[in-house]
Parts: sequence; C-alpha cells; structure tokens
Amino acid sequence: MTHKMTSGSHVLSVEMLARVEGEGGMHVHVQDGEVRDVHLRIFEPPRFFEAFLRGRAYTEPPDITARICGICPVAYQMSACLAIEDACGVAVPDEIRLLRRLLYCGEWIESHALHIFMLHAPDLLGYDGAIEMARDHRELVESALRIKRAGNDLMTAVGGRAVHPVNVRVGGFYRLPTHVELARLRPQLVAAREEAIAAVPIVSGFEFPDFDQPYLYLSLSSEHGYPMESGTLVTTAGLTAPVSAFGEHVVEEHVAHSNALHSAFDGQPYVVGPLARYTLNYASLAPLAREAAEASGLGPTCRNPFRSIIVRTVELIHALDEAIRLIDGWRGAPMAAVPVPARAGEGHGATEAPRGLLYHRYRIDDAGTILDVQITPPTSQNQSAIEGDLRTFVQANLHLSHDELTRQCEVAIRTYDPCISCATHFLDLDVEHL
Amino acid sequence: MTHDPSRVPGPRRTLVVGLGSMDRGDDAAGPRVASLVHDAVAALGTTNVQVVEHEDPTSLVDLMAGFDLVIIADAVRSGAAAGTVSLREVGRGEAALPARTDPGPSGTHGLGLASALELARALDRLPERVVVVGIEAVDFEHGRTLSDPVAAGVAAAVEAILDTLRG
Repeated sequence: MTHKMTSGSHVLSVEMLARVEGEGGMHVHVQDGEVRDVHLRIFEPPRFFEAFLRGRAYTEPPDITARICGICPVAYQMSACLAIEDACGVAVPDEIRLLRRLLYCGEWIESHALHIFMLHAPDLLGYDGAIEMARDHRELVESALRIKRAGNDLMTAVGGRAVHPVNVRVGGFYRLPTHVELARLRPQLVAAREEAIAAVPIVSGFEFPDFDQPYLYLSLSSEHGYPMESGTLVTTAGLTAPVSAFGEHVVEEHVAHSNALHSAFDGQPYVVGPLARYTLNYASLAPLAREAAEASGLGPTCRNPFRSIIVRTVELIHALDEAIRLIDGWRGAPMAAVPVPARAGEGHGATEAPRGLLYHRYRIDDAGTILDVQITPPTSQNQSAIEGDLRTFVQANLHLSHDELTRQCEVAIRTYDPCISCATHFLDLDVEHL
Repeated sequence: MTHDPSRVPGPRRTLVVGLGSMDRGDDAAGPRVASLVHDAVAALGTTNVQVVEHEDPTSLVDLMAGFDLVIIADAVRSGAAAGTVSLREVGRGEAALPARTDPGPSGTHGLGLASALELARALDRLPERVVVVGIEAVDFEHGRTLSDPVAAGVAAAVEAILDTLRG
C-alpha cells in the first residue's frame, strides 16, 4: 500500500514484532492527520514468576528467575542474588563481586553483539534481516558471530553454561573458574575487542533520523566503574538514591492493552538502558571505549534512540575490555560463596541488564520462605517512553506510506531491544490496514 | 546441556540437537527428545553421535560445524494435530524451511531455527545433511510440563531419529 496517512482513519498494526525478543504487538490509530492512540502490547512473564516464587525457598530465585529470559539470565540471577543477600544482611566479598562482573561482561558481549549486528544493522542497511545482510556483508556477520562466541565462552567458563548459567548461587558461585580456564579466554576476547573497535566507523557511518528526545534517564552508578553488577540509582534530574528507594520513586500501573505493568518515575515516563547508562556514566567508561565514543562523534550524552547502535558498540568495547582487565587482575578467591543464613526481612537488588536496569525485591521469613516478590524488568520501565516515541515519530512522518511508516515504527521499537519475554514460537508479522 | 559424547571414529559425524526450553510446556519437546535419544544411543553403544540440548538457535551456526549429519528436534506449530511428527530435509541443496513454519524458540531476539539455518546457509556453513524433526505443539505456558499428545509425539520423534541414525 502506497497511500499516505494524512486523512481519514488509519491503523498501523503489527500483531507480532519481528526480531523483538518475545511476542509483542504495536497498534497506532491515526484520525484525520492526528495520532489518537498508541499501544505497545507486551506479554510479560515476570508476573508469572512473581507468583511462582511465593512459598519457595530463598535460595531458589537465581535459578528460577534466570529462566525468564534466554538473553539476559545473568541479569536476573545477579539482581535476585543482591536482593536476597540484602534481605539477609550479607554483602559478598569483592572477589565474588568481581567474578559476577566478569560473568555479566559475557552476557553484555553476547547480547550487544546480537543486537548491533543481527538486529539493528540490517535495519540501517535496508535489509529484512541478518540472513539477507549476510549475503552482501558476510564479514560483518562472521565478525558478529566471533564476538558473540567470545561472550558465549566467557559465560560457559564462569557461569557453567552459555545459556542459563548454572554456577550462580546466593552468596556467590558453586565453583570458581581456574586461572587456566580464564586465561584461555584472553586471546579470543582481545581479538573480539579489536573487531568491535573496527565496527565503530561502520555503525557511526549510518544515517540516523534527527530524533533527540527529552527523556528522563535512570541508571545505576557505581564506584566500581561503568555500572553492571551493582550501584546506586541516579537520574538525569539529579536524583541519587539507594536501590532500596526504587519503590518510592517508581510506580507500576496496569494498563488494559498489555500484560506488562507501565512504570513511571516520580510520575513521569522514563528510560533505562544503554542510552541512560551512557549519558549518566560517560566518565566511567574504559579509556578504549571512550576513545571509540569520541571517534564515533557521540558526545558525552545521547538522546536519539536510533543512535543506540553506536552506544551499544561503545558498551560492547567496554565489556570486552573490562573482561580482559578482570581476567588479568584475577587473583582467585578464598571461597566460591559465603554463607547467607536466612532471616526475616526485605531486600532490594538492581543490576544493569544489557537492555537496562532490572530491579528485584524479596520479602522472606525466618525460615527463608519467600513471602513476596517484585520483579521490574527494563522493558516495562521503557514502555511508556517507547509509546511516546511512536506517537511523536508517527505524527512527524505521516507523509510516508503506510508500509514505510509501519516499517520505521518497527525499527524505532527495535532500537530499544525490548526484552518482551523469552518466547518459544512464532513471530509472524501481520500488517493490517483499515 | 551437553551430554558427554564418548566418540570413536565412525563413517560420519552426527549431531542431534534438542531445541527448546524445559519450562515452557510443549517447548520442552526438543530437549526431551534429545535426552531420550542420548540414552538410546548410549545403550546401543553408538559412539559417533553427539547429543546436545540447546535453547539458542543462533548457536547452531557454530554448533553444526564439522558434522556431516545434523538432526534438530524442535516444537513446531503448523496447524497439524498435537504430537504429529514431521521430518524435513533442509541441508545443503535442499529448500529452506518455510518462514511461516519457523519452529522453535526466538530466544535470540527472533532469530529462530529457520533463520539460524538460513544464516548458516548464507555463510556456507550448512552441513551436507540437516533434518528438522518437528513435534507439533500446542501449549507454551511458563511452568507447564509437556501435554499428553506431545509427550506421545516425543516418543515417535525419538523412533524417527533412531531410524535416521540407522539409515
């Protein structure tokens, strides 16, 4: 369909979003040149897991919540561990924190490599997907697979498996990786870092729409460097708060068109994820990553979601560099885990999943039985902002054909890398025009 | 999970992959098939067959490297009766899986099985022979176990794979 959208009643509807983790749908209603209604429909599994965890033992959430997402299991494990350890009044030793950070690097490497090269690059190069792109840009895809494999192998060495790590427990790990196991990863990580640096001119050479948005950004900030496995809450409004204050600022509301809860920070839409992390933590980037950011033309802030591919590439370089630094500095640990005896209480944990801040809260009794759980994933926090973006974007681009506008809306949504769920089956694109 | 293969030299190197998540109802069909095939292969003393359970179809591109025959078991939805088992040849020289019937998890941002196989084909990494064993599934809810008809389909899929291995 080539007709434009400036008169009459139109619906842009994508029942299933291709190349979005899980099953999502988009619905935009345009009436006489005005965007009337925007819904991003999300099927969200954490609600199921919150109910499923009540009555279970306090040691179980790292394994159970890891299964919420095939892309960011480490994030679920790390936030769960922090929250439960907080409830029990235990802080793990620094060696364990460092090993958690190393494992997290693996997840960022895997996730960002996939998103940059397999999802976002095809959109910017005008391909339907990675397969079509691979026919013309074979080396780019081969490079992406090598970088992703470096992340996989790091996850396997530290987490026990490349998907759904099994080595994480409350208090630490079941088993420490040996020096030899970690040292073996180094050449591969160094090569992957070179390949990621080589990708900077490619990703920064794409054409991006002018779409700077006045977002409120929320991320962690950490004395231990660019935030991953721990930190405190910071916003672009100047707020600094402990993770335990998350619930005082973030209110989740149920909306009719989605299983997911919509979040607001002090009453307004906000954004978590690479753009927020980058803007709030630019100074903490590794020197190589900051050099890459400068070479790409990014300033110390980024407010255009279409340019998130550059920010992810900078973060990919950071994660690879950080993994190498952690391996080089690894001196072992006296024990794989510290005891975390149960006690009645409530605990909070937040870490930076590849796609943004992931918050967990647990309330347990004296015997360690879980009484109450809250899991707030990045995508539900971003949902209001994504819908706001779509509203602005569609309104400004009504001159485009229905098909082109629908395609560009999908591209806009994918820039957030929404982790809607770990789906099991079809993502079937169905464009409807009324 | 990778089952330890105790491989001896054989006429061809074979990989059996069970794709899917154990926690998502009928999506467990693939890993369940892999587990049963592993046990059967071990009991028969066949040692040139490696059996793997996986949730990430993108990894297939690397995983399949060096194998002559790859058999992939996965839950599918095509409209057939639950538990129906279908075999498709998708290796070098064969047609791609129809996109509409892309089975299996899109747990890597939508790069499902059909896409992963086509990516391998585009990169000239597709093995000589690849067989997709689909088990028609109905229920993908979190926390559910295999539905009865799909459990029956799993047994049929295991037989079909053992037949293929014998052939």
